[in-house]
Amino acid sequence: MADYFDKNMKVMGESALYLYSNISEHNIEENLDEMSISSCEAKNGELIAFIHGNDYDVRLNSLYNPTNEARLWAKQYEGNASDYTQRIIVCFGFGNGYFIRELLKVITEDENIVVYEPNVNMFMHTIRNYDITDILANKNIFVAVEGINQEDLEGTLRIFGYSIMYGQVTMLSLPDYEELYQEKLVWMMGIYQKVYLSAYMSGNTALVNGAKWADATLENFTCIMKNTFIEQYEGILDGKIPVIIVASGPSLNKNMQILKEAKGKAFIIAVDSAVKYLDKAGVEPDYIVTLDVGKLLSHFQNRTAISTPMFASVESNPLVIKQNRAKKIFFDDDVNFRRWKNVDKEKMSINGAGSVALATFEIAKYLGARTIILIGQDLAFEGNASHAMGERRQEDYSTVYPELIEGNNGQLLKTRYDWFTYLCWYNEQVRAFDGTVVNATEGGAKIDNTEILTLREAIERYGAHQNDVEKVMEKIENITLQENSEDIILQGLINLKEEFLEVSQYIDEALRLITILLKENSRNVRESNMMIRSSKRLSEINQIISEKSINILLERYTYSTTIKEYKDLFVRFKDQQKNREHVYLKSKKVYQGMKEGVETMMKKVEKLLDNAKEGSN
Amino acid sequence: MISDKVNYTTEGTMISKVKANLKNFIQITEEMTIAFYQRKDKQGYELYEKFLDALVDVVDELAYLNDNKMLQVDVSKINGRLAKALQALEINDTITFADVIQFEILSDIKMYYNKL
Repeated sequence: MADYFDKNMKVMGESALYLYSNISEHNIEENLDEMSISSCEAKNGELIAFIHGNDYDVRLNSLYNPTNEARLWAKQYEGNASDYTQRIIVCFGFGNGYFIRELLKVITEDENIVVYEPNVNMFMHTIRNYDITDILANKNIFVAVEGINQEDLEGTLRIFGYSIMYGQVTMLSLPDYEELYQEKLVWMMGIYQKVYLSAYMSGNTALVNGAKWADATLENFTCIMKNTFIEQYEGILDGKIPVIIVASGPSLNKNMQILKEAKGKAFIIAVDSAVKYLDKAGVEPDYIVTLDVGKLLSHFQNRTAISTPMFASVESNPLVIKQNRAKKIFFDDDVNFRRWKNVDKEKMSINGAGSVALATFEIAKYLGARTIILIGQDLAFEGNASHAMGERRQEDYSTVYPELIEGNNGQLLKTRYDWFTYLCWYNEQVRAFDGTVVNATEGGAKIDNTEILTLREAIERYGAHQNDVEKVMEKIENITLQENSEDIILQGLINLKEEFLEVSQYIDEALRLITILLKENSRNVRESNMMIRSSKRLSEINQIISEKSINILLERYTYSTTIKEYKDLFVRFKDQQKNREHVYLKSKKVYQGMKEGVETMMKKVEKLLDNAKEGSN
Repeated sequence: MISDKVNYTTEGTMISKVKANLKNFIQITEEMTIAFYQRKDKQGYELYEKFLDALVDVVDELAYLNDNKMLQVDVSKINGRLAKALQALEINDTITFADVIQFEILSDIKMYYNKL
């Protein structure tokens, strides 16, 4: 048999580096069971693969013509015959490539395939004995292989989170794989469900909060421009001092006294919901993190919340921002307000963090922490309590996750759907973090790859000297507020107003084009030249608007409309004319939503502009 | 002669009937093999019942044509290959069954259809 290893690896190095680097760096070939897979010739000269086990030998392909078999098998998944467009095909099994190759031929250009191969021996046998360069070079496929890069599967599926949520996924398995690799199939389905749950929750949050986020960003604008951005503090901790993240789980009670003793030995960052408990116990964190636009003001009506500096999302509750009297460091600046303050750095990524504690973890990493200590991060019920001081909040028992999870003390614990999602996030992020994460929660859910210590032990092992902490805190303090902020605020608001006016004109043009398209479509079964030209111009307008800095505000403002219209946007009708009408009507609703958003936000900007002008006079 | 014309007409009608049966058989067989290739075994076995019914008629008719020297048909070859296909089905190897049907029986049936 010919050896295709070098040829396949060369293409892999060019087009699938995520696989290439793992195979090259981890000496995968050393630990293979080469006897478990074999190949021989079919009647037509192509190779057939066999999988051998203790009590089975399974043939993967037709004895006569593997390509013919694969072609007819793949026919059932043809793009143009499917009920959906822009599908994501999630395939269990790569095999020796025949089925995947034919699957790639039947999908449309805007569709993708995510493959998980549960048997590394199979994959390595394939890259040695089969020419799969065409598959490896294809940009519409991603391959995760057990024992090579299986941990990438979840991250890849998360990219397609919304498609998963909208039902654009086709799940399938290579013939015989489900029976051969049941455990691995269960594992893969677990990953898929996690991603679905996470996307569903994000979608719901966006649906409820989208317009509020946009509104809050504008309302906070003045404060944002008077303060600093987190991008100005990247790496400032330089690994010199540990960060203690204080979350508000029920186990926080245990650690209040020790937390007081930890002051000056670590950088203590409290999530906003933990602050009132810290205030009652007389504990002063160094910083607070807030990001939730709907966070109740009652959490912040205490001395600690008012006087402690904050890391705040630009979309935070404006009332909370106004109430706090201390320095603020803003993050989540998607509009890129920081360019008006000459902060020419790429935005910090929150990396899919869905809660304030997870965002704080990302902030700690970004600031340059090499040791992160978690307390109050239960992610599980302690008895009946969901939060510190025995409180039970969000009394919706339907949110209880149906399976028990492993606790730090070896017991099985009840959790909630949202906590379970956060736990999965932690497991992935802690694995990828090249520092130390200590789980000093003393109870709660077990987070993989964390060192389990009490807070006292963690401080004794990782605590810094007071001098070092003071020096770092001084460095942070020295990045100060902007001078001439009034001028910057005024100019920023003028820029925003101009952008809104410009986008408003494009939206009006888009709505006129859609009216033309609907009229033309009703008269033409096939796409007319006028329809083609109008669609092209509509695409150009979409592109122009998407490149404006205010686009992110528009997107957020119209989330409830777009998510609703998006839900069945990709349904395919057999009748092309009906298909087009479906898409045009949906686009019309989205643009009408955008028009309403622009009008509302422009009024806000004009009000802020009037206030700013009064202030400068 | 009138009797010759009657015979010719009867033969022509019979050939048309055989062709129609062959076409029907080809269609059912293709649907059945595709179902098995697509691992839709339940559907495949349902079509297998229809396949067997159609096969009996087709083999009988081809044998008649061969016996009356209207078409040269190797019926024993068809029967031999069918036995091979059924052996695969007995051990639940639906793919080899579909392969034998497609590459060793159907191809010959299509050839006979085109010759008629």
